[in-house]
Amino acid sequence: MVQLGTDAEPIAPEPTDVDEDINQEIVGRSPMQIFWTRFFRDRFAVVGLIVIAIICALALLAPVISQHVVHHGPNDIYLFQMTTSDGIPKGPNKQFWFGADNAGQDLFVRVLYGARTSLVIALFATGMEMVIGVTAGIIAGFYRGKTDTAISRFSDIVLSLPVLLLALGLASACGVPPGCPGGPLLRPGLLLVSFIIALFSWPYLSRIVRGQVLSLREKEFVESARAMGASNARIMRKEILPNIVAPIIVYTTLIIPANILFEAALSYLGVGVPRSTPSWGRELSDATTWFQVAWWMMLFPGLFLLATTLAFNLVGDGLRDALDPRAAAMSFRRQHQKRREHKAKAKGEVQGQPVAIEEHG
Amino acid sequence: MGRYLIRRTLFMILVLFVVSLMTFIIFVKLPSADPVERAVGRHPSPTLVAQVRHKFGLDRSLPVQYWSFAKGLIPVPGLWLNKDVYFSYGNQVAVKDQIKERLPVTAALTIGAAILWILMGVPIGIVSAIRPGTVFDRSGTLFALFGVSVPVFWLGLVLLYIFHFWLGVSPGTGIPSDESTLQAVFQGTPPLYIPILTGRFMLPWITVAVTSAAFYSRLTRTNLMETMGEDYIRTARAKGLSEKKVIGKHGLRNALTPLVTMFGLDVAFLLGGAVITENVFGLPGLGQYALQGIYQNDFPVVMGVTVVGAFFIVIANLVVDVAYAGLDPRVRYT
Amino acid sequence: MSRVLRVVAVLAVLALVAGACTKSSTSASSPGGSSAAPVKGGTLRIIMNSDVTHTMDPQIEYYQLPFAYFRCCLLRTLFSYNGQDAAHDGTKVFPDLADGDPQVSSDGLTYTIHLKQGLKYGDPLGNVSITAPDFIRAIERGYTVGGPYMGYYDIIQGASDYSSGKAKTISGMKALDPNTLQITLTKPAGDFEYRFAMAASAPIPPNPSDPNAKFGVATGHDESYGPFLVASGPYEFQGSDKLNFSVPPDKQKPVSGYKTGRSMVFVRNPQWQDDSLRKAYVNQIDVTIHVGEEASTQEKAVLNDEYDTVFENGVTPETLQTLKGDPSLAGQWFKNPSYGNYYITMNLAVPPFDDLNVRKAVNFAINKEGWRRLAGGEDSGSIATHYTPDPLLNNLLKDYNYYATPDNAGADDPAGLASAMDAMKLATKYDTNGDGKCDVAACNNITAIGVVGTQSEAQDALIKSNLAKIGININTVELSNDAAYNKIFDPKAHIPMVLFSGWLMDYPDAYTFYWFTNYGGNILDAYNTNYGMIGATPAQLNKYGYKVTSVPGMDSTIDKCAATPAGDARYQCWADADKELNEQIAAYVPLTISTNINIVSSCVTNYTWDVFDSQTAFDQIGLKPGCGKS
Repeated sequence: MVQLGTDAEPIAPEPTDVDEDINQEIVGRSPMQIFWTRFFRDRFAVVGLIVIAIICALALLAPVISQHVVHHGPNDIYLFQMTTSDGIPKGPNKQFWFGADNAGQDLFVRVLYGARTSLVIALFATGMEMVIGVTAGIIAGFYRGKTDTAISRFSDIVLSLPVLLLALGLASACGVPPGCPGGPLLRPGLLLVSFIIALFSWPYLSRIVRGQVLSLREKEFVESARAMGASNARIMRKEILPNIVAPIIVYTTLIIPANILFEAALSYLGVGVPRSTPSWGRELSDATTWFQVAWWMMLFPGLFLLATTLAFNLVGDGLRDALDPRAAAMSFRRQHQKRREHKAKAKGEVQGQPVAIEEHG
Repeated sequence: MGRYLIRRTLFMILVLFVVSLMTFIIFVKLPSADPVERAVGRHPSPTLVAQVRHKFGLDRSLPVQYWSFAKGLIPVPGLWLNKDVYFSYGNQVAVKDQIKERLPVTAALTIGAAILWILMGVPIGIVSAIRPGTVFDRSGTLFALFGVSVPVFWLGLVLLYIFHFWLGVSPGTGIPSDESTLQAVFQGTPPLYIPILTGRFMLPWITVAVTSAAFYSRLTRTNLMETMGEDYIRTARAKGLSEKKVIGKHGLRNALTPLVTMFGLDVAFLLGGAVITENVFGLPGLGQYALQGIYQNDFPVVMGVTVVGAFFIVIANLVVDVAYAGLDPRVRYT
Repeated sequence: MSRVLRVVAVLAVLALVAGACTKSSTSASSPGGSSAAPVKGGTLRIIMNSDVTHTMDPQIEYYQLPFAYFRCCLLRTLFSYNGQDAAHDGTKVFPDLADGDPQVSSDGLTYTIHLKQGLKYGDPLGNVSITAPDFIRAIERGYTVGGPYMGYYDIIQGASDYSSGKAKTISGMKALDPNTLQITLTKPAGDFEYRFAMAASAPIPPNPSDPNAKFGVATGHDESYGPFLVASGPYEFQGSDKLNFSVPPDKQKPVSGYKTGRSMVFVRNPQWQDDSLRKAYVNQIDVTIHVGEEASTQEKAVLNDEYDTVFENGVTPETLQTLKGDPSLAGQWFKNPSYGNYYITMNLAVPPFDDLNVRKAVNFAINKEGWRRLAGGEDSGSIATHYTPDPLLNNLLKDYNYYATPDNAGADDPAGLASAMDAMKLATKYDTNGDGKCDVAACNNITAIGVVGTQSEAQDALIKSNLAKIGININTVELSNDAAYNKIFDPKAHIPMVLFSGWLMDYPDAYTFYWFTNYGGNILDAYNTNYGMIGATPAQLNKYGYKVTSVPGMDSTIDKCAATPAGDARYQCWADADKELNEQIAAYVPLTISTNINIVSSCVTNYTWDVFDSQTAFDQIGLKPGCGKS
């Protein structure tokens, strides 16, 4: 392997670095305050935050809006009203703000409900990814040596996999009821899709966590905990984990849009969630057949999807800059890390989008 | 260096092994459908079922089946994707032949897109780095974030809608059967007949390039800004070199070195099949072939494409690592 | 579906339903005969995006695709079709290699067939006559290699002994002399001639170098005789003259005119003569196979005259739009009924569908007009009010609509909903309070298998909403075509409902719509096409683990109709059978009879639709002189 620098160097600098580079340093402000001040100075990030808030509100209020405002349910069919005799959906009008999809259903309502599905899958997937990635990362970084090598090589292999093809295979194999043997995660449904996404994406997070842990484990407070006889498990849980929460949150924010896009790609290729569960990817997948005659089917779900992923990326970008303005510069200093980011990113294209982890640092 | 190469090669083999095993498990051990079903038709006699199972090798034990496919991974004539097992269940055509036929399409997509994303990404990155905080920089950031946020298939469809259906200046999807890949790339289509620009690959290139260029522009920006802070740049400036020369001669050279490695890997990944882009634009490349294999339970096809794709990736990894050492004297092999 | 629609790539399920039209096209298309007879010559260029599955082996091939080429071009059979549509006797069967109709014994079991004399095979056996033993050879080979159509020949005496290995030959097939074939059946079959119009029964020549070879020239090619095929029709594979049967089979070189998965080239068979069915205007047929290519790309190529036609079951919606929008293309597209139906299947052995009244309620509830609209409207097909396509019943049930609802809108019309609820009320086991809605647990979360596809999934959503109105809540599960078939073909899977059922005739007799799908005696442990479990015996139900102990069946009706000689009595028998299926069994909700839209280049003249293959008749169409490739 190419070894560049020592493994003990952090991949992204730890949170305590933040106060070093501020020009107009004001004594008495906590790092947290500085962090938020810096974050809110980033107008893009603030806009992103607002967009996320709106999308989440729409998702939460979807049943209320569909029932009391537009009076159409997500699975109600308005076939004769909203399709032509050739079955071509009709466009936006006063009752159907976004027009109808090819089943004669209210696209506006389905887009609202789609927000729920896309967000839920992204959160499930991200949650699972966090559990796997953080655990693997902490163990690799803390124990170093052979354990680290094994975990790192394994994640290298996962990053070399033709992710999209395998995900498709897994989704279509386990998407047939009663699902694959091996527990509820392999039964058809939202969890399966989330699990598949997490299964192929965790190395991005584990790598970041590992870097953080490698540097933290050398710090005085870890040393002192060890001197006081704390067990390894305790040190990892009580000393290390709390100190990497901030970077985990930042990178998680950047993983969410990637996962949303992953779900959309799977749905586009026909192995996502069933039709009765509206999702943006699904609506867009339908749109591929119809967009020539029904542009609204492509436009509205697409715009919502794009707005959401863009917003998460803007916020994530802003959070990272606020956490450590030099992260961008730092993150590319270590060559072997860069190499893997690449893989991450190039892989992203194959699965439909670049994985937004450190690419735009 | 020798030991290093051996270790890398062993790791490569391990990667190929894992990729093939995972593909095998997912598509043979856990298939959603019986591959024989399509071939035997309705109401088949047990004789026919048995005969087809035998022909497909499905009557052998799983390890034997895996081994017969694994042998096909060894890049030796006679073994490499050998026709004994690497043939399509659908029509008995050798997977190798199909890959040979489809690789040029995928290659044309990859190479063109790569050129385009470099042409888009690097200049944007340079401008952003030279003028940080300006409108250029902010637009560059937005462009980059757009690139990573937009679903590839949606971007492709929007481009198709605008340029093909609406403006009518671009050709639609697919490549006419009597057109070679080169013709499809270079030949202009009606009504404008502008070579390349209205060729059949232009929109697919843009689609891939926009989603990839983002990464390159950000990387260029970061690296260049970092490099410009280094001592030797200060020295160069102190020597009285013009800013243009400082950036061009010293800054860029060092800033762009890491891009080379990234580029190699990106290209390798795409050569394994840009599944979604090929699907959106109906390009008969490797990605489409693999997708077709998945949809039709045609395991040898899926295995063939997956393995060829993984092969490109591991080779690129090796080449990139070695090349990197050549470009950056600080790197040592251990 | 039987011999079906595999021509279309899996994800393009919608294309099946999408491209089509309702009224019997022929009127719109002004086909054959009107213009002067076309000139001979030219090369017909066909493009297709899927391939045959068994390298053109006449005994093993199953799907529609190879059969079109066998019938039109490569193989002659005892009886065959005229390559026309239903209005021009396309559903009738005519003597082909047989010299007139067979002589049938009074018990209807023994058929004596005289062959036309002086007919020879194509290259390289141009001096070998077509004789009676060649037909026996074909059937025997069919059993030995396990051909999928052999079920149609099980009625030949001794066939089962031969297939099980108890006998060396089929006792019911005898060559009385080189030109006389005698076939003895175990039970009468009114569709005898149709069965011997199938490619599986096409004669296989003996091998002159090895007269004892059991399967003649096909000996040693058990998996794929196709690339070594010796033709009897107007065309043969290019390079057939280079076939050398004097060397052992594994040393023989396949014909050069067949590149597996890429192309087929048919050239004229110099020995072809005395054929009143096939016109064979063109000199050569080039078939280009681009597996997986976008259907719309190939259609564009045809409209640009790069090819003369595309082999498919209906055009894509995009192309249909182009066709409708451009009057100059009017002579290049044709709407044709394909004798394939779409229907919903309910499993008689799974509650709540074990109750006839529930099944009737479902029949009333489905919005057929809406379903068709989601398939593309009138262009996609005609509404089916019963199971069998009308022409196969001589239109006896044309005005029959037992489950009539206003506009065929089912439960989406108030009166239709009332009819459905009235039927449901009679199912007291499931509608316990008599409100017209099922109210027991068996009606919730019923698995209904469908296929992935934007149109089919929208249709499934419609069915789901229709059934919810009578208290039946289905859980639609959409799978890929293969996975879906895999699921429903397993009688132990107890799939309650199938949303994508469809069947295309094997030959133009109603029997092919009943034998595989509705005959209890044909229920198989695997690959079972009778997934409604119609006519399953209590023993079968028990074997497959069903709790329901008896289901209705119609085996005796099918047996009776099968034995009825062709003619009005047979039509009437099948019409009555259809009513029985519809009213007493009601396992199906017939949805539509599909219609195909096919396109040709501007070079093609004398367009003709072949009912048997549901495809353009390549042997009946001509090319304008100097047009296309010459």
